[in-house]
Amino acid sequence: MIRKILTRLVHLAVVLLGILFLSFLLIHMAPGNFLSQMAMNPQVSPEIIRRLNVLYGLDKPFYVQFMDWIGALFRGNLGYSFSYHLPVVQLLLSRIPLTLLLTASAVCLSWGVALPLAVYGASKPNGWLDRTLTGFSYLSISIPSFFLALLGVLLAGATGWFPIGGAHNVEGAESGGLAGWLDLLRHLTLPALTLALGSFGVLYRLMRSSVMEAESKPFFAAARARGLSPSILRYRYLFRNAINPLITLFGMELGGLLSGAAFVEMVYGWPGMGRLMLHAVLTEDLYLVMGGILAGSAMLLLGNMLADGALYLLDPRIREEGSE
Amino acid sequence: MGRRRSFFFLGLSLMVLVACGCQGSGHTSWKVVPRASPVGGKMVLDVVSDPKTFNPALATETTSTQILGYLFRGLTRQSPVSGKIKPDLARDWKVSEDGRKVVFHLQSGLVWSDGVPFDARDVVFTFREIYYNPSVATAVRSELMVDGKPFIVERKGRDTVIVKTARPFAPLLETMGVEILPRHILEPVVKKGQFNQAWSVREDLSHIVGTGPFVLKKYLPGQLVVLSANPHYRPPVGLQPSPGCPMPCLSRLILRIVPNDTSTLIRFMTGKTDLYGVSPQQMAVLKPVRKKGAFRLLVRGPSLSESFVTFNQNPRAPLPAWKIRWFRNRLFRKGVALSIDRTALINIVLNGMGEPIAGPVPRAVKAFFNEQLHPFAYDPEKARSCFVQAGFHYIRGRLFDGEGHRVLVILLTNTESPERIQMAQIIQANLKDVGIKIRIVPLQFNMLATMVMTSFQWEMLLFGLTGVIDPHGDASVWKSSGFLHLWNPREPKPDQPWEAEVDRLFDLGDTTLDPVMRKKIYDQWQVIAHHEVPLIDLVTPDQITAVRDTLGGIRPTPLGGVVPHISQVFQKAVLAPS
Repeated sequence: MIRKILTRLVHLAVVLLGILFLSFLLIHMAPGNFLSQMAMNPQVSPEIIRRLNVLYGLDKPFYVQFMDWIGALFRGNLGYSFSYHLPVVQLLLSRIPLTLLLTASAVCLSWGVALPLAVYGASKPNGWLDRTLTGFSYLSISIPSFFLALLGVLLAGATGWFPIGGAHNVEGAESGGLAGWLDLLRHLTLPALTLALGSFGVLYRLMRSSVMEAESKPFFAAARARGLSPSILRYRYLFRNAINPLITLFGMELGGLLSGAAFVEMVYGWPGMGRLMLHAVLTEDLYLVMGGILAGSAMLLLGNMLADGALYLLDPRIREEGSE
Repeated sequence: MGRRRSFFFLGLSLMVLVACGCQGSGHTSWKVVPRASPVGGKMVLDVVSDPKTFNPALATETTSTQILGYLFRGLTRQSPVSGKIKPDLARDWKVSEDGRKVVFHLQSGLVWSDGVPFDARDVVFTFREIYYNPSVATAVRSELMVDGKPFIVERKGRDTVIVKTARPFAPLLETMGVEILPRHILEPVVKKGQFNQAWSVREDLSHIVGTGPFVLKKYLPGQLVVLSANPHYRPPVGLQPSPGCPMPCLSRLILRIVPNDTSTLIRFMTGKTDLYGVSPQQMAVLKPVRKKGAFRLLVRGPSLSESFVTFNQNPRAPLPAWKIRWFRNRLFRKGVALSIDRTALINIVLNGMGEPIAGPVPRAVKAFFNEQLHPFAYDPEKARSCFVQAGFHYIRGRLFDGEGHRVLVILLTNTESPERIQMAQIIQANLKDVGIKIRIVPLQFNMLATMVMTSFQWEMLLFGLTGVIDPHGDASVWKSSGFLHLWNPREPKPDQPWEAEVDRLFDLGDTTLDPVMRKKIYDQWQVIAHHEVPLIDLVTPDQITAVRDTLGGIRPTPLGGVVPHISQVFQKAVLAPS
C-alpha cells in the first residue's frame, strides 16, 4: 500500500516536471518576451531594453533559465514577477484564498443540489421534475459560463439586488468583522451561483444515468426483493454504486479549483487567480505564468490521485483488483 | 496599453445595455441633491487593472502611473489645457544664455507626506541614485538623456537645483516633470541594492511617501485602491483652489478595479462611479440616458493617438526586390494614401466620432500642429493616375508593375484591437477598387513586433503609436537612426535625401529653445512627412468622457482628460435615487 502511494508520488513528480518543461518551452517559443511591449514604446531606448533583459535574466539561453528556475523551485522560490516586481509566491498567495472561496462554494452548491436531485429524478424518470431538470441541464451545459455571468451582471444592474463586481464594497472592505463577511457573501452570491449553474447540468445528467444504470443491475433487484425501505435502497445501495464516475469527476473539479473560474472572475471582477494569470499570460510575465501553471497542474494531479485513493477506499471491487 | 475588447464582447455589451434600457422601470434614475459644503467629498473611478507597483521609477502601465500621478510630483508639470510647462515642486527657473544650464528654485515650505521637509537633496538623490543608477530597472532613464549622456544634476543650498546638459536641450523642462522621490526613505534601500523590489504593491502603504495631493490609504488586490487627502500637501505656485475649498478638495479618491468593460459601463450608468471614458461605439447607449443617469457627455476633441499604414522600405528586408521598389516609390505610397476612404473608417469603425489626420502631429497639440496640412481626400481616380505615373499599369482593372508583377500586398495588424482589424477590412476593400490585392494577416502583438522590428519580414503594416506632445518624443520614429523608424529601422546613415533633412530638422528642433523657431522647424518636418508619406495617416477617435453632474472642478482638456488638476476637483452634491 505505502509502496503504491510512493510510486504514484514519483509518477506525479515526473509528470509535473514534464508539464513545467513543456510550458516553459512553449512560452519561450512564443515570439517576444515581457519587454517586447516596452520595446515598441518610442520613449524607451533600445539600450534600456538591453539592460532590462540582462537584469531580468532574459538574455540567458532557454535551458539555463529553466534550470535556474527549477533549482530555485527546490529552495521554495517560485521566481520573481517582472510586472509586479514581487516574488511570485506572494502574488499567488494573495489571490488564492478568494479564488478557492469562490470555486469551493460553487462546488458545494452544485454538488449539494445536483446529486440528491439526480437520485430523486432517476427514481421517477420522465416525471415532471425529472423532465424539467433534464431540460434545465441541457441549458446549463450549453450556455457558456461567461455569458451566464454577463446575464448575472445585467440582473444585478437592473434590479440592484446584488453589487456589480469585486468582492467587497468600500465600506465593507474597511469595516471588517461581521459586516465585512456579510458584504463578502453578498458579492460572492452571483459569481458562485453562475459557476454552480454551469456545472449543475453535467452533474445531474451523469449522476442520473449512473443511478439508472445501477438500478438495472441484479443486485438492486435482489435488494428490492428483500423488501428494504425505499430510502435505504436509494441512498445506501443506489448512491454508493452510482458514485464512482462522480468521484473521478470530483478529482477533476479539485484540479479546476484554482483555474476553472477564470472567465467568471473576469466578468464579475472577482479578485482571484484568473485575472492575475490572464494578465501574466498576455504580458509574458514568465515566472508568474509558470507559478500559476505549477499551482494549477499540481492541484489537478493531486485531485486525480485523491480521487483514485477515494475509489480504492470506497469500492471493494477496485480494492480486490488492486491486491491481485 | 489600451483596453482590450473583443468584437463579441462589444456586441454583447450593447445587447445587454439595450436590454437594460428596455426594462426602464425607473430603477436607475438618479437625482442630484446639493450638499451643504463641497469640502470632504469623495470621487469614485473604475480602473481596468491592478496597479503593478507603487514605485514611480519602475511603473510602466497605465493604472500604476495613474495612481502614482496622485502621489508624486516633479519639478515641473505640463498643463493639459495649454500644453505649457508650469511650476510644480519648482517655484520658478532660469535658463542660461547658452541654453545648457537651468537653475530651478524650489517652492519653499514643501513637506513629504510623512512630515519630513523636502529639499534639493531629494532631487539630486532621485536623479543620481535612482534614475541614473545602472542597477535600477527603470525605463524612465531614456527620457533623461541627451545624446546618450545623462544630465548633470547639482544643488546649491537647500532650495536650488542646477541641471546642466552637454548642449541646449529644448524638451528639458518637460522632462523635469519626472517624479521626485524621498531620499530619507529610499536612500537606505538603494544602498542595500533592494530598490528594484521597493514599494511593491505589498509594501506597507505608510512607507510610500510623496509630495502629491493624495496618499495611499488602502489597497485590496483585485478590488480597490483608496487614497486620502495628503494633509501636508502644498499646491504648486499659481494653481488656484476651487471656491470655498482647500487643496485637495476631495478627502478621498476611490479606485475600483473592474477588468470588464461591460461591468464598468453598467457601474457608471447605475451611479456607482463618477467618471467614465466613453468609446465612440458606446455613445449610442449613453446619450439617451444621460438625464436619467445624471451625467454629462464631454467631447474633448481628437485624441493624441494616431493610426497609420506603412510600407516596408528596408533594402535589408527579406522581400522580393520588386516589392521593395514599389514601397520605396513615393507616388505608389501617395496613391495608396489617396485610395483610403477615411470617412468610411470614421463612420464604420468610430461610429462617426473621429476625424481624419493629416500628419504626425495630433491636432490636439496646438503648439506644434501645422495648420497648412490637410488629410488626403479619398480620390480613387487620382490614386489610379498616381500609380500609372509611378510606372504601374492596369490590365482588366488589376494593377501590375513595369515588370509584370501583380500588385499583391500582405497587410499585418495586431489581433488585440478589433477596431484595427475592422479598419484593415475597409482598407482592403478600398485598395481592391484601385486594383491592389490585399491579404490581411492579424497577428498577436509580440509576434508582430518581432516581425517588424527584428526580422523585417513584413510588407504593409496597420498600426498605431502612443501620441506625444513634444515632437522630440517622435525622434525614435522619425530619425533615420531611430529604432522605431518602422519603414527602415536603425539606418546606419540616412537612406534617402528627405530622411537626411528630417534628421537635420529633429537635431535642430532639439537644440532650439525659441518656441517660435521650434514651431517653424517642426512645421517643415510635417510638410516633408506629408509629401513623402512614409506613414499613411488614417483617423483618430474623438475623446469622450462621461461626467456625473455632481462633480465640480471638471473641464475638458485637449491633452489630458477632464480633470485639469486633481486637487481642484470637488463634489458639489450627492446622488440619490429618485
